[in-house]
Amino acid sequence: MATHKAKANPTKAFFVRMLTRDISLDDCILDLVDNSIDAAWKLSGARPTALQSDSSLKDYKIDITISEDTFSVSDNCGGISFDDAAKYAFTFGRRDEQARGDYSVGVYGIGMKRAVFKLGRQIRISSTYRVDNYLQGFFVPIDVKRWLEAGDEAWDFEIEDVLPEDEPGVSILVTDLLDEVKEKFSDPTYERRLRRMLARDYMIPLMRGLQINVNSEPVSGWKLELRQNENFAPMRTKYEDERVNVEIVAGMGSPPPDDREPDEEKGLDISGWYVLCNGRIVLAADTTALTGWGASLPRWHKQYSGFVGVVFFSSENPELLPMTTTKRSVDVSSRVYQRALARMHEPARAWINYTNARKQNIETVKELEKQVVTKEVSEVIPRAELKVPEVARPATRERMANVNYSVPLNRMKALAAGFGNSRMSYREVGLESFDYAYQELADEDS
Amino acid sequence: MSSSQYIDFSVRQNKAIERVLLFDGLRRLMHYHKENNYVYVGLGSVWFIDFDMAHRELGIETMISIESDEVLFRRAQFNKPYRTIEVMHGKSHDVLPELIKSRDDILSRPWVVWLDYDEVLNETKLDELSALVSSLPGNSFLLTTFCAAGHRYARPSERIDRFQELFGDAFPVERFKAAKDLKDEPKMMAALGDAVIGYLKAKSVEIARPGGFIPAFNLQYQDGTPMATTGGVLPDVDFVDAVRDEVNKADWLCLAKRPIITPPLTAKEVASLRSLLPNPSLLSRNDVRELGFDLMEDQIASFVEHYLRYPSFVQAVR
Repeated sequence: MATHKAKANPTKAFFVRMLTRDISLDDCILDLVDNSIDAAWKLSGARPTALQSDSSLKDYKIDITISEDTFSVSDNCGGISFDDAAKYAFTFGRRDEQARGDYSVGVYGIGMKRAVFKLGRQIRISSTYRVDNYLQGFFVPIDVKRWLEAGDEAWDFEIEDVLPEDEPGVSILVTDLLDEVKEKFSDPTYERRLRRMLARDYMIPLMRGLQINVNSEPVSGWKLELRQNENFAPMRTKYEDERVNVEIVAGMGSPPPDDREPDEEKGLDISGWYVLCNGRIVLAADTTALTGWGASLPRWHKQYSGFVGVVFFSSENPELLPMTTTKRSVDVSSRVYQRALARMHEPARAWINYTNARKQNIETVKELEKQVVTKEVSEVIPRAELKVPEVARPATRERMANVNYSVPLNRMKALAAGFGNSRMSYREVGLESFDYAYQELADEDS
Repeated sequence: MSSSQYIDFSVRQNKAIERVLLFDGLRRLMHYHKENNYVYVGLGSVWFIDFDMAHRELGIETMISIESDEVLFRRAQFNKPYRTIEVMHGKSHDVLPELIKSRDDILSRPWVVWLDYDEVLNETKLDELSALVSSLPGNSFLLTTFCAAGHRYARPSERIDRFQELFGDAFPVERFKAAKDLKDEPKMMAALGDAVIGYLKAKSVEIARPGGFIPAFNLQYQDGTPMATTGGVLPDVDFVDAVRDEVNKADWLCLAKRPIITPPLTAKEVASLRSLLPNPSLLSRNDVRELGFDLMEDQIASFVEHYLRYPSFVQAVR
């Protein structure tokens, strides 16, 4: 019997249209930054294996510019060598023979291609790299339309010589942006959002001296801080699991809220779990089943706000890390992650119990929560358990009345300002105004 | 208290200049759609100055004024200068959504909405503007005027927090790194103008409005209290390029770099200053002193910029 073959080759259109569909614009930009940061770690010899603050990446810089017409990212983190470009950097997917194992976050060899296709249709990737003591340069121009039209046999991109820049590094320029990208970049709030996202997701490399600029303005790294005093102390523990280092820090980011109304929540709530893989945040402020809430722990409730936990996974081989291909979530099927989750539950459970008990004696605990000092997560002292105070139930049997009413927001804010603090919670304004009226109208002593 | 109760709008010279600039801008952009039968919606108070201009200068006939105060509502009905002005009773944030829901007769036409508040912006007003970005017909104009005095929003120590709470990422917080920046009034006015522009733009991107929102008006002026007027066009897709080209022209004056801060001047002062204009070199304080009086440098610069729009007021009856 004759054997026939069914055609199974991939098409270029698949890579351009499909791959870009499953990833957001933000994640594409982060993918490009990841490549630069991977290169910076490698070149510096430092490793993202611990929560620490130093200056090991201070010589490295990433510049991002966004405008309605162009996007660019350039770094001074060593560049891609001509050989690597010819053999690996532009293949769709990592080749098996390619060296790996350098505490990077890039695993699949798809980030850069996917990112630039998501952004625009004219791409120029340039590299300056060092050979012995000389700098050399090349660039790869990609005209996406022409590349697609060239048919599914011709996959390669041209590499052209160019004079090197002053420092070794990679620079990616994208023009002829897609309409939806143009639209996003024209929104002035986008640049601030991007800056905040970079500040948070790269707080580890930024903590270690890396510079990131967006449109020439530096991004200052997020500071994740935990509070402590004689009653409260965060936990910090470290262990190794199947060649992955795991470090867990958890504690009080801010005091739990006093029954705030949903519309009273101000800005960003930082509460929840932060999961990092080789220095990159893959999950931030998570309060979902991914970190156990609503699965083995109760569903997240605003009562638990204030809880902050960090889980830091690092490994020489990024394939062992529990992150998804978009680096935007955890791989919950990872056994390393499942075992970490069991340990993450301990401080979370302690916090849940504390916030439950706290409701019984709110006035006392508010005293206990005072006079805290804040410590950056990197400075937290190792401790096996999260320390929270024991709260006793107050001894009163007095019958209470609950009050609940609505007023226009403007008047609420004006009254809070009248009491001298426009950041007062609605509840406090209510209690203050009750006390005020009570003293005036009902207090027999006055 | 609304300012209609204590001041006649017509004698605020910088407000008058702002109005002239704004209607010039509207006329230039409307010129592309002469056939459009626009609807004007505003807060006419009892003076109806903007309604008069909308009718006289833009040829708009269908006009709706919204007034919430019971007494002013009756006075507005009495004072409305043209038959085709309809005065509606209520708060604009209640009346406008109703209009959009119920009035098929005007929904097929583009609107010019100018919410000329004389108060600070707050959550309710931003919600109202944001709802208009989603719901106004294509090719409409959306404008708002509001108080841009920082101290009317919050105490200095809480001011930046308040702006971030109100505008989110649309507030250019990076411009206020030092404490002295808070005291810089023109800087604050410009930042609030930009915050509203950013807020409206972000809203149009968020809902993927076809044609989007194109900023076209960003003016600040001060007759006493610092005020800002901001807004733009919500064009249909085929109108986008024309709007963009027009507002990018060098002679588009409605995206101003400097606030309008001409001083109140006597007729004699105005006449003598005008006698030196136009002039290729900037007028200096010395030039004014040579005329026999005196003004601050920034007041002179503002007058030179707007001398053709500077209004003359005459008291008709004593």
